[in-house]
Amino acid sequence: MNTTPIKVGSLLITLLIGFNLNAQYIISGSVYDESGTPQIGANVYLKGTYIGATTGLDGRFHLNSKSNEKATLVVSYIGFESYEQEVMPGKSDSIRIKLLLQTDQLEEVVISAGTFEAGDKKRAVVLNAIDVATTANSDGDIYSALSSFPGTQKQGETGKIIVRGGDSHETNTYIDGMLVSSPYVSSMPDLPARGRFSPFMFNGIMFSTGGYSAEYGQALSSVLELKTPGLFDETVTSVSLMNVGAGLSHTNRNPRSAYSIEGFYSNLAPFFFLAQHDLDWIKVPESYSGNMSHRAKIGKTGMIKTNANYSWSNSSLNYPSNMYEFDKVELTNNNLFAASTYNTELSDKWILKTGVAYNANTDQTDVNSISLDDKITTLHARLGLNNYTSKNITLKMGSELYMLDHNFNFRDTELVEEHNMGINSLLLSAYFEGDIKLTRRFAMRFGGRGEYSDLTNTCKVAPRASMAYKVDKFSQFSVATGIYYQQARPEYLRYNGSLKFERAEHYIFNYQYQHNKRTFRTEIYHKNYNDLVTYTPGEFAEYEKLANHGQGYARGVDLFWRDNKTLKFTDYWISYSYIDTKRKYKDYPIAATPDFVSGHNLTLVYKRWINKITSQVSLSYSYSSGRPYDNPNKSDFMSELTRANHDISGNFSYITNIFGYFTVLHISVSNLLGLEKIYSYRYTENPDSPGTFQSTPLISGTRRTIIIGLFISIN
Amino acid sequence: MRTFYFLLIALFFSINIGAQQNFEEAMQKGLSDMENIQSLEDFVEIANFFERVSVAEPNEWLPAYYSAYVNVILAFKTQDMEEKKAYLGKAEVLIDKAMETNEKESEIHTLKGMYYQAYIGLDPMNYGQLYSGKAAACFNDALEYNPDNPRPIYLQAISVMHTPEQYGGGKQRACPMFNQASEMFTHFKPEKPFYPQWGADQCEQYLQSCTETAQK
Repeated sequence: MNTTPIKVGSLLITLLIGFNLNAQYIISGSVYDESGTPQIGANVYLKGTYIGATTGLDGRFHLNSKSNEKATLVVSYIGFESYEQEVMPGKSDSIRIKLLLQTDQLEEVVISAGTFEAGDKKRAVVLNAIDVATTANSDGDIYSALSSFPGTQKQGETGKIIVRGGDSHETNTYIDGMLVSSPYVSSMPDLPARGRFSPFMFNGIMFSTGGYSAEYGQALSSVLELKTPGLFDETVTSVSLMNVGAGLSHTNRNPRSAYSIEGFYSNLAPFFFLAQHDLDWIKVPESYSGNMSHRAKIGKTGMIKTNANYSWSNSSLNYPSNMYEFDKVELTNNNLFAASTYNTELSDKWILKTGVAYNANTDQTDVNSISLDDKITTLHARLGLNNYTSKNITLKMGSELYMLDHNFNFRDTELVEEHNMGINSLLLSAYFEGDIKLTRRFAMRFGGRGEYSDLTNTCKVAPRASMAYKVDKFSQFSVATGIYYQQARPEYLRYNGSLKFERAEHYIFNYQYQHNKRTFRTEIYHKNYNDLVTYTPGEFAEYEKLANHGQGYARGVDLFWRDNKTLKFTDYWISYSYIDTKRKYKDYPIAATPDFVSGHNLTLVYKRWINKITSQVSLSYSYSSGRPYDNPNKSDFMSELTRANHDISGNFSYITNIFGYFTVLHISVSNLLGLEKIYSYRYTENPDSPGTFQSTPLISGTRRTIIIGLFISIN
Repeated sequence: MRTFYFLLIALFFSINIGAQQNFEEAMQKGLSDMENIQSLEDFVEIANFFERVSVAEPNEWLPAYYSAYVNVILAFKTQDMEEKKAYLGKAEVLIDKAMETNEKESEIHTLKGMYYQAYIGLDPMNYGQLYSGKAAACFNDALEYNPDNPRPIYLQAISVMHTPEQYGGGKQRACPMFNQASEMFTHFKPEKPFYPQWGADQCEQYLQSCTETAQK
């Protein structure tokens, strides 16, 4: 083949002309919104090229393309869904484009029955760490702060929260999805416990009082999910000095990893010196605790979070002999919680969530000549996958493994007697759930969870469903229902390993209004309980004739109003719950309202920021109606009610600086008026000569208490 | 025949060079337009322009960066709360996109910090608590990746300036930071053409107000 230079030249010229003298192909049109109003400032361009323009005053655009090939026209404009269309430059008529309003998450329906969520930046914050610390009657304890929300109450003598008539162990606590099997510090009989973890470890709190998703199992009543931050924000050293102890922590941040270490020593001697109390301490509670956290980014989207917490505590107390069969109790606790989670995007459609948690708790109690060793070790592992293939459907699936090892040792040095008991159980579960958004206003969630126990060789399937309908921009209705199973407590299982799961059904109806930093929320619920553990108090063993013959119900109304808007620098909320519940369980001869339930609970919380003195003041009032108790002098079981309890608490946080370092001075006073709170009555074991059992009221060991703390951040 | 191939190759290269030239021309045009902004509409047009370039050049971080930067400025300039949030929402998407391909670029982390500052400005009572730590973390990371970048120091100084003295803020603490930033601006050389250079003039203005109060 012989190509002459002339031919090549002409080819080249054609090519060059083709490039340079190409005709201009025009694409023009205008951009409107759904109502037909022209949109000014929209970005209109041909995908993958530099050709584009911004719409003018009348919403019009005009593009010049040098090619008449088919192209993709893109319109992007803030507040609207991005728009794409195929065009033939020069051949199409003027294009009329209608943009759809972007569905703001705030305006879109969210399944919310049973759930309080906080920390999500796009939604109204219901509760965060600072809220917990500054809620007057919380004393900086997460569970106490939660008791100022509807559906919950705090059992004064144990310090634990009760959710909608469920026993305190029916609430599960998770940290980043990993189960914490001993969420409270161990406490002496009839003295309140606190949550083991400081609220400042967390940047989000999800609290569900019922109807929760299939992701969660082994909790009959409630789920508390605490979320830790990713990479810590700052490199900082903090010092805390309180009348309950002192601590030091250091956090270090790098762009792709971070760690924090913390040590705390607690001694309640100064606290009891300031408090009004009737406790006869032999050794005031003392504890050491250490905390370590590590964060690392893996690849583009992966993150490994590791948290480890160890604590040791000890205390010893003399109990009044007119109320208790024992006089001296000493308690030593050792607890280790360690968890690691790894979450990553596998692709833009799949998210992987995995984790392992280990929790070992030992309570050693010495009561007179008796020594008890109670050891619970749990291992929890989870593997979950979330799929986001379609914009309107989210699928969640996964499986969990839960191992429990419980060992109980009883020794009586006087009678030279020793018993050793234990159980070992393995639970396997799997869940699958789909969130379906049918329209912008209507969403549904269907799921199920299978749970298998190797100890009892039982397998149960728990279906869950919920629906939500958004009435307008600010309000929505939701309903939720589901079946929930929970393994019997280790203290029962060690006597009878064949106990079945306890079972609850939830039915919840919810209405919520949120607008302009104001929230109104109401829930009506009904729950049925079945297969609850029953027993008779044994002569030799603690529990005899253990079986799943119990049942019961709980129903009620919760009301909640929070207003962050009306009064300047002021946040207040009102929470009211009414509950009607009865159970035949434990050793109850008939169905009765359990002794930890009070029918009416009202809490008012008021917080105000005073700029002039850079301080926040918080006050709270709470009322709980009388709790049932059993009077052995009466023939009817649980037929009497204690009187109602009132509490007024306050706290004050002053923000300042010491040597230029950010400092908070915090003073919190519980039970300002020093009112006596009666929780129940304790009766003598045997009647006296006229045949009556003598009673002593079980009152709070402390009345007015004061916590003072100084927190300094050095960075 | 040889000539033919040679010409074809030359042609091929010229097209390629053309693409590179296009990008450079576009950046040049965008940046010079940015200096001649008259109105809010001009800001919108520039943000749109850089966004278009960022879509056409997915491997370059600068167009997304500048589009995000202008969106943050728009959030400061507009009055309507919803509009401000919308501009910031757009900026966030663009910043994350830029970050995806250039995680170690100090300037992108700086801009993310500025984005958080803008969010705090919307409602300091609520967002202050949520985002002030995050903004600080971004500036921290920005300095980690480039200790000579004056912008994170300058932006942090602005935060300190607007923080009341009781919380460790105030002029007394901010002015030495402006001074440090200003010093760094004089030595700062952008790594490559079109790399960010903004902030020096505004920093000088802040510094001036510092010396004025000192004289009083």
